[in-house]
Amino acid sequence: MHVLLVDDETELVSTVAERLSFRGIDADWVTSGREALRLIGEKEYDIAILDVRMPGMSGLELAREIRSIRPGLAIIFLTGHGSQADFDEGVSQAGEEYYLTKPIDIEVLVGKMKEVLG
Amino acid sequence: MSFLERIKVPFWDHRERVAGAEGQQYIFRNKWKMLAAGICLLTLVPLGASTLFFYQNSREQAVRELLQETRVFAADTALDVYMFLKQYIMVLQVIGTMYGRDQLVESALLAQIFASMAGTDDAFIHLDVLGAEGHVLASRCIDTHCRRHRAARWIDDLHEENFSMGHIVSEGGTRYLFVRVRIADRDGSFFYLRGLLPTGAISGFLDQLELEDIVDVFIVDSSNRLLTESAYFGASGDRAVMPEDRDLPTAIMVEHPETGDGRVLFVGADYIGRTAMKLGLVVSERNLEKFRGRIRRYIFGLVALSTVFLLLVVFTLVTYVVQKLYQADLRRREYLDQVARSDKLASIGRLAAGVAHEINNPLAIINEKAGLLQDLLRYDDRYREDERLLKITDDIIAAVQRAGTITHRLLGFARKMDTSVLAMDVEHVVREVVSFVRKEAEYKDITIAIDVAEDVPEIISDRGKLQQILLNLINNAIAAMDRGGRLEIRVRNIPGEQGVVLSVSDNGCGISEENQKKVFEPFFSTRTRDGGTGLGLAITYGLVRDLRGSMELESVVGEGTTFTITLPYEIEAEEE
Repeated sequence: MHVLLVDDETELVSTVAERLSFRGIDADWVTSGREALRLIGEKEYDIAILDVRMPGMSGLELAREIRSIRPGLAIIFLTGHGSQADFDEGVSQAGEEYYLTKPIDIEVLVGKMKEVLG
Repeated sequence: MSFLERIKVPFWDHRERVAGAEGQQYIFRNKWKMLAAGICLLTLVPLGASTLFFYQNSREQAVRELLQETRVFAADTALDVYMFLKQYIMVLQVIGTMYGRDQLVESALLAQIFASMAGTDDAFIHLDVLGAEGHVLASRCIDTHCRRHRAARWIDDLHEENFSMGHIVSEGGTRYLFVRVRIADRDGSFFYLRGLLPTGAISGFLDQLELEDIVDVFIVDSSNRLLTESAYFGASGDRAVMPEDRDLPTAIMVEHPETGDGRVLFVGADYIGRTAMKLGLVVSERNLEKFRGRIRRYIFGLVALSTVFLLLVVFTLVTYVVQKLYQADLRRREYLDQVARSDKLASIGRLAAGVAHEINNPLAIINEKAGLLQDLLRYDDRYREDERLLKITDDIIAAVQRAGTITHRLLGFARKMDTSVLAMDVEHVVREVVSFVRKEAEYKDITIAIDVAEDVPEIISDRGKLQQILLNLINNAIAAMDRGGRLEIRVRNIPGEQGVVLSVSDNGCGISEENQKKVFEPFFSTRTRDGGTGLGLAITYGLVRDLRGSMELESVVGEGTTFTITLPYEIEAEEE
């Protein structure tokens, strides 16, 4: 399983990536939407895990871009700082159904990834 | 508890600070007094004026009543006098019928009869026997003036078929009354008997008629010359002041003939029978006072009753109205307190939400780092069995989860501050908020102008938040101005901008350019000394953003400040 993690918090995203690697999941991480789009153009991924709130390009905008270039790529959102409201405002409006709230439980994340990939 | 304590209305003891006055005042009590005094004045002045009018007219009314009474007295008394004189006619009729002409002409009989009647004050002083043609057949007299009497002018005031009566004026000017009867003799012829009476004969009778109300009774001839003595108009022969003959029986008011000081007498008169002689009587002015007293008592009784009734109605009504005002004022304060409380709660909620957002990020990092540490331990053979280290990382993760739960709760609390979104009239909201602060503005002598363009439509937004926004801005504006300032609230429709623009302008101290950048930051305040928390504008800014609006600030130091808020026509309700 090849995963791309996108979050503006370097400490957070790098740690999650490392933890996934312990569970046999190969994870790349970037801190902006632009870098994410570049990597997706270069590599094949099974799942993209995106933070909703990011400076510059938000997670939702990034998701739209990704879908236009890689329609089959599964996406899981990490909603802003654990607030249900943020998800209500943005993610649900965008018609997304997979999300997790921060702080995340790594096992829950892995479970969700498996669920997404069927 | 005294009676007054029991009926005391709640507003009576209410005190508060009043615009433009030192110290606390009983504002509702004062309102009550002012209203009560005003309405009392409005109702009692006309009542007093009409009372005064009727009081002034009471004399005229009393005069009318007394004249009427005097007229009745005169008519009654004239009838009494007529009946009295008729007694003499009857006496002569008895004598004439009993003795006949022939016997009476014999001087001895006439003298005998005359002598038997003489000796009393009211007896005839002269008796004549007259033939059918009126010539004297025999005559008896109490003194030696018989001839003179006969020579006098006999004035037949009344000439009935069987009798006549009248008066004569003798040579010396002395006046007498006479009666004459026509008597049918036994042989079918007839003759006359005539008797002369001194006016004194009737005076005694008249004296008896003088009662409490009637102070003088007298008889006058057709030319109003006195036949009997009068207490007011003089002796026999003097002229009395009498009403016009054509009006009799009647009464008139005349000036007192002796005092000449404006005092009056009431003179009543009527004819005595159908003679030309008239009876006059006088009722004193004292009776007038008696009548006036009665009328005044009636008027004052009525006025006292009306006043008591009016005062009762006025006091009850005024108390009711002021009580309603007081209750409305209480409701307004309660509402204002409620708004202030919810504003405070909203501030706390927003603060909590801000803190939660900020803490969540480091929490997430701690969580991931602790998780990584745990992974490192678990996947490393050296530490896999070290329960103590694994437990430590578990505890860290558990503590982070706990902190996460708290921040979630805080965010939930902040979300509950959000209220319903409804259609509303912006002008109505503006006026409502202004009504809350009007007292404070009045206290500082600040004019508030509201200018709402006609084309401003209803907007769909959060009423509570808009109220808080306006309340904060208006309170800031009032705080920024000195006495006599001017606050202007304008509302405009900007179709191009798809929204409504509200501006709150003051001509207060203004905000320096340096501070303009900071005013929306939390905890920035220039009013820390008088209780400013520095959160007002930060919260306001947050509220405007909640309403999907924008806020701008223009300010010139010394000239004033304008906050301009643009709100969309419609925002969507947030889901709980």
